[in-house]
Amino acid sequence: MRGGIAAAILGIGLMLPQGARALCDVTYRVQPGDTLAKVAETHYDDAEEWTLIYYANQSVLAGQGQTLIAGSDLYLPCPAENPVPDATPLRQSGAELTLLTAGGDIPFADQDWPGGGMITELVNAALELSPSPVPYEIVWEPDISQHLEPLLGRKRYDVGFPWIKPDCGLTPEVTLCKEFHFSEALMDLPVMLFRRADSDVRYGEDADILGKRLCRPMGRFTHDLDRADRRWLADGKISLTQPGSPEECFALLMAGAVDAVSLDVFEGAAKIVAMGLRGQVVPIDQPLSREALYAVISKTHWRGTTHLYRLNAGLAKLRESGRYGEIVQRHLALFWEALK
Amino acid sequence: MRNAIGGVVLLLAGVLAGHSQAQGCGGSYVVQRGDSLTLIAASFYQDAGKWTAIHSANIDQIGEDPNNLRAGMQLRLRCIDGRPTGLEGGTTAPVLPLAAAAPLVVAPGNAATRRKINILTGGDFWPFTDRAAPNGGMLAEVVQAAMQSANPTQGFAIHWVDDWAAHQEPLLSNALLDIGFPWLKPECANDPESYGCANLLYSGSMFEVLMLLFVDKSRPMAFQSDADMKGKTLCRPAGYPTFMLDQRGRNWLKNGVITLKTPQSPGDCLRLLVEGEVDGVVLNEFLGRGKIKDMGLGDRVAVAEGKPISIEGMHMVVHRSHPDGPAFLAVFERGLADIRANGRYQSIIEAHMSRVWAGF
Repeated sequence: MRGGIAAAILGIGLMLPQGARALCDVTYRVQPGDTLAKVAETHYDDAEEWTLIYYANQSVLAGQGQTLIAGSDLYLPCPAENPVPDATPLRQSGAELTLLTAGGDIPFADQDWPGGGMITELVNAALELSPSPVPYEIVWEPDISQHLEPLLGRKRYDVGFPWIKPDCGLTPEVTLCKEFHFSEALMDLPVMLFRRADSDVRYGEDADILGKRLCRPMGRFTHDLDRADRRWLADGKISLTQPGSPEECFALLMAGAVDAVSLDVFEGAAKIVAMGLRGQVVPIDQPLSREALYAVISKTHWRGTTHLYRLNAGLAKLRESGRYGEIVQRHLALFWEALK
Repeated sequence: MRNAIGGVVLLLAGVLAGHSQAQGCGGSYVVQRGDSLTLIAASFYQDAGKWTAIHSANIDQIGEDPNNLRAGMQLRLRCIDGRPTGLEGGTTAPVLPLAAAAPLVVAPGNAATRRKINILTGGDFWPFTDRAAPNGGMLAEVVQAAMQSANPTQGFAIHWVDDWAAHQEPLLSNALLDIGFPWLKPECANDPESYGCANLLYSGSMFEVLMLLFVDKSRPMAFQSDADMKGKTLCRPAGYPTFMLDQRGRNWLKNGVITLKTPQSPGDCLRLLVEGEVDGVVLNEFLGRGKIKDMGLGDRVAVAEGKPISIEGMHMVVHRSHPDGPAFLAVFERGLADIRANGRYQSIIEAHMSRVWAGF
């Protein structure tokens, strides 16, 4: 029966005129050789929108690479139409719980993005559902270098987001590990490799990457490259160039000075479009690493563990109700729409 | 039992200090153009977060505002955990990481105390009120600082009575002592009948905690919903509030869903747990974890799967019948607001909580 639907979808997809949307809100059974990008290309007419399928099927995809296991059932969501965020009656100015974010980080946190961005909206929605709720306020401070210390460390503000968690087993001494509690993951974040379309750089397994020249901007995390099973930097197995910006990374890529640029899927896609490199630079299907975004609070905050529980419990309710998935899908659709 | 832990810490400190002795640790550093406290902390302590330690050690030069750093200032960099080394003026004497705050010394009383605002607390409630803890514990220090700041004309005194079951009745109800802390506050809008709501007035919250269910790993119980509680025997020390077991429509006690045992101390509850006499112990996260560590029960006792029992704030209380109750509470609230505004509150919480998390 599922196979029947899949066949029907494929049939319709083939008959549709170029650029039209295929069926969505259906279950699709993975065929041999499928990748998320291929499925997205067929159904959304845009390989980059594989993230829509990725976030709608996280439990199915856990542990699968981008070459999918034939026979798995994937839910193909429709890109959401209504970008109106939920009401946030507890979000009040001068509220007792202040959440600090930098903004300018589309689609995660940005003042001008609907709902203030996907993570902002997830955090808002979670706090609205929290047990023992408290009024909260979002504070935008663009200078992120001030966030951990002094703004959160000295309790000028309470909770910071979104943060990537360092490998605290590897580097227990860094401020985030030593001084802060982490929430449950607010959202998974695939970190990709972007290559020149005319190159044959590939990444299916870690061995493919040895000896390669990667680029990631200065100031970004590198712990994924040095985790216990990789030690790529520590053992000199790859070379990493760290210029000041992602744009410089892509320039180096186009000049042939590096083999691939490593950025999270959203930042990479956005920069490629902004730099007019669409078609010349493409993502490698298989994510290099899977990171996640978190909220943090100082361990010496007088409500450290309780605020964290408010957020975590609200987030669990949000996921349970399915609302979490809706919010994520809506923002992903907005993001890919904005890139077109 | 705390002393045993203290001994271990001192031993470690001794080892570190011995290490630093050979190299010379701490010293002075002249601020360069472009330096910031975080940069200096990152390069000398390998931890940008240590900028607060540099700031507080040099507050006489830098002032309250950490951005007020100027090139040419000569900063004192204290020896912390063996860093930094190789600076001018480094000490070769062993230096303890943080000057350990002294345990509390309670002065003998006299009849003149009757005219003061008499504040009641009790011990064995680490890390909040515990005579063996630095300055009597986190909230004892907060209350002391708040009252000092409020500086009431009649003066104040903090009294330690370890039998918590005697605090609300008869000591506070008969105004034998005036105000007491730290007490959890019921949700009075939903629970006006409870003892606390009917009889006490509460200050704002001084600190917030999760109330957790601690269970025996060999016969664990989870807490996902009310149904999990049916027929269980729980433990809360004598005198500890139990409203969280009844409010929000739970009525576990009122309807006899659970049996509650109330031995004298939190340690007694944990003993009953590992002896199989009770199924779970309800304690705040810090007290529970601290006791488990002290008693060496880390392998046997864990937090129950599922949800915490509740979120609770810790408050100052006064009995509603006390003629000066609202006025005394207002004095305390004023002092608490003062020390929150001037950073004293935060530095007290930080010193205690850093020790708490370092110990876990």
